[in-house]
Amino acid sequence: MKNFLVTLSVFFTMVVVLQIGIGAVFFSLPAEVAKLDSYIHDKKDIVYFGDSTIGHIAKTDIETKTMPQILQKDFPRLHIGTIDHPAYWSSVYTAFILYMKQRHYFPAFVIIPINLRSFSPDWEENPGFQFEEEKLYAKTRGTLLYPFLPFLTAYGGISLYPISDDVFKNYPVIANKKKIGTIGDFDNPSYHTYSAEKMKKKIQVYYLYDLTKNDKNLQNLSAIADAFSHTPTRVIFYITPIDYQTGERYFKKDFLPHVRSTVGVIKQTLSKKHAIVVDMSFALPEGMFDWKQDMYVNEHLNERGRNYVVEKLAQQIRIISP
Amino acid sequence: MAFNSISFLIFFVIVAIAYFLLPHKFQWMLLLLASCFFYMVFIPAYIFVLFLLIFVDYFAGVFIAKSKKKRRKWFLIISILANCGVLFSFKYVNFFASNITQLASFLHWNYSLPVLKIILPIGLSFHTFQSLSYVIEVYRGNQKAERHLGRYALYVLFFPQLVAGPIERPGQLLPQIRKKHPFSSTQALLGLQRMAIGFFKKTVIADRTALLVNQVYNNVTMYQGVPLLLATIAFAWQIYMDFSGYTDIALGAAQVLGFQLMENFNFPYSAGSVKEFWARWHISLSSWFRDYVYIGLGGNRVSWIKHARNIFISFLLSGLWHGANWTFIIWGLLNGVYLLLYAAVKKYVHLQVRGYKKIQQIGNILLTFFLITFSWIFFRANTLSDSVYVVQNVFAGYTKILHNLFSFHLAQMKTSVLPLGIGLGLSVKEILAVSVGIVCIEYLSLQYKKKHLSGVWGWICMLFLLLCILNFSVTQHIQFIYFQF
Repeated sequence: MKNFLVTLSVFFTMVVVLQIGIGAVFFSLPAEVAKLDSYIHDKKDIVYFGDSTIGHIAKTDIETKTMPQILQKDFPRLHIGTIDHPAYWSSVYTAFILYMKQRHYFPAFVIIPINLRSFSPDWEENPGFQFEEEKLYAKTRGTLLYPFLPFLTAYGGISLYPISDDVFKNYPVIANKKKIGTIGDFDNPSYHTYSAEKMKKKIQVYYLYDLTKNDKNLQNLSAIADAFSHTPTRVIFYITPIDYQTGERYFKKDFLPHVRSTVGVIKQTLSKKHAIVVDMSFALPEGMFDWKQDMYVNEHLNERGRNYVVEKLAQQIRIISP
Repeated sequence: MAFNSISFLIFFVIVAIAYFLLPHKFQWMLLLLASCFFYMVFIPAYIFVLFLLIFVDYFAGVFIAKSKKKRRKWFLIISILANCGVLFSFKYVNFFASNITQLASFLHWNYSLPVLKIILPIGLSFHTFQSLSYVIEVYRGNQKAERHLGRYALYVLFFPQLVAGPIERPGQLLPQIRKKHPFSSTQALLGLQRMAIGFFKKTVIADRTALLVNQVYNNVTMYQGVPLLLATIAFAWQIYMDFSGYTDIALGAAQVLGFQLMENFNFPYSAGSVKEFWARWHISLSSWFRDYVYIGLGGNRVSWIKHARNIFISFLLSGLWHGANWTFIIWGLLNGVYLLLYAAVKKYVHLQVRGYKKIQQIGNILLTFFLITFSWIFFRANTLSDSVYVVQNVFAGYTKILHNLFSFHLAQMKTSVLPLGIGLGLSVKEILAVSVGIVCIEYLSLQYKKKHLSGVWGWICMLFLLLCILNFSVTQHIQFIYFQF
């Protein structure tokens, strides 16, 4: 048995060593992590994180530039890198930012959109919105765990899908401190048919949740503010505009006060970290949104809306570094 | 605890080391405790269901051995009723309830049966049949009743084969439980090699194929023609790699511990007839139905009508064993039809092509593969209507493809042949790795059959397989197909 164990130990040591080499040389990173690597290498001045709102172009737009591209036009001397993907939110941004910090990469500015819908359980608990692979690769790159990630995820050591569909569908939806149902009750409306009742349900779950200080999204945003607190990087948070006029049409006078209260919690939390927050939540009329082809309300903007947001960001950048 | 998990690997290493450090008289206790732990990871309370059946069958065996003629039969009946009753309660009660409700609705009767929320205990179908095999063999006088309750419990619970077989016969496994198993480095290395082969088949090949199969079969009505055909053929390979991969891990793990379990597969897709296929596929189950149902009913030593009846009953039960769904029943019956047709035309087919043996052999293999793959449609489809849709549409759209081919519209041909837009994730390096991996498997399997270690090349093959497992395992944790049975 002793010889057997020695032989096996030598063999497995060879496997581990070879695998570490393979991981270092051959692994392909998730696209956004690879992009961030290139920005670190190129030392981009601004890193603009975002979800689908920053890249969405309306079919009626004449100017088809995304928000980062519009911002680049305003600051031709600064190099802007974008890390965006539909449904990205603070949990992904946090992993990327810690990745940047580990590599001592401190751009002049980091821009973080705060999508109010991302605090909804429909987003935070959505199995498809967790992006565990990107977060995992960003967190473990350079560690001994990294070469073994495919094996660990395939063999259940680490889960890429921490939230199951069942758990998601049964997650409670709380509004005005009362449970008004589960996500399954609100998520069921198919996108292929429209009804006023379905729209009302969507607005309710997207924007009329109760936001507490323990919310993980808020905690992530605080962690991002903390990450750059004693560094040269200035983080600009901005609350993305929502189509409040549509919200008011369905919920009348109940809509604005509730959402204002939510925005207040976000701003209060981040102000404790001395973070810059540009609040654009109620800045835009419904004519600047482009969600009608999606049937149900979202935060996508047309070119007028995008130009407005970028203008506000540019103003903030100029205030910070004239 | 799934085989394809870190927790199983850690569990197995600990159990194997402890097993060989313990004196022989305590080894069975360790294996029994380990097997109980292994089973309880799924749903702990269900161990009591297993214990109940173990007690019933243990005492049935003891009393059958002690009793005379009529009473022996009663104990056998009690055991069969207990095992089948538990199986029915967990696996089939909802199926029958919903069908009775539907029938009542069809007849305009105001009658419905409640559907219970039950989770099927893992491996129930497998260990039930293994237990029945023991009691039947004791009744037939082929097996001495096991007097040691702990050893009998281990026969049922032995963790490498507890969840998805092979369904062992008492004459094969019980003696091994009593026997001493000193550590053998040859057996341990052969066992580990076999486990590596199994993990490669499962997480590199089967799970990768599952990505294509699941995309199509979970949304069948979105596809027509080539995608359905590709997915069906892919499923034929997925289920083979998945189940034979599981079997390799089970047999390999048992071999490390010094146990020899029965082979469950013998290159089934090289079969030249459906009859031969069933002698090569899931051998432990097909031989169980042959020995305890088919032969029990008279086999083929009866009139042609009764022979047909025996085949249909055996395959109906086989289909039902796999799952409480009409799709499995149709799959089973379809295979029964194949066997009957084969029996009916066997002589005639042989006479027609006597002069062309090789061509006939290849033709038979391809025909058998086609027939079996066609039946897999029913096995894989989620519902009966899905299976009907696939059957109706799997050969649709080919005239358009042929038209495009002859009109040199290659761009259109590509769109019509590959409309899936699926991401199998198959880069050149992955295709290369899987291909070389399969060569390694074949080499190691050949050496395995010779029961000796394969020298430097064997180690290189093992190394390659492990590196493939580390790098090319599908990152979605997919359960073994046969775990659901």
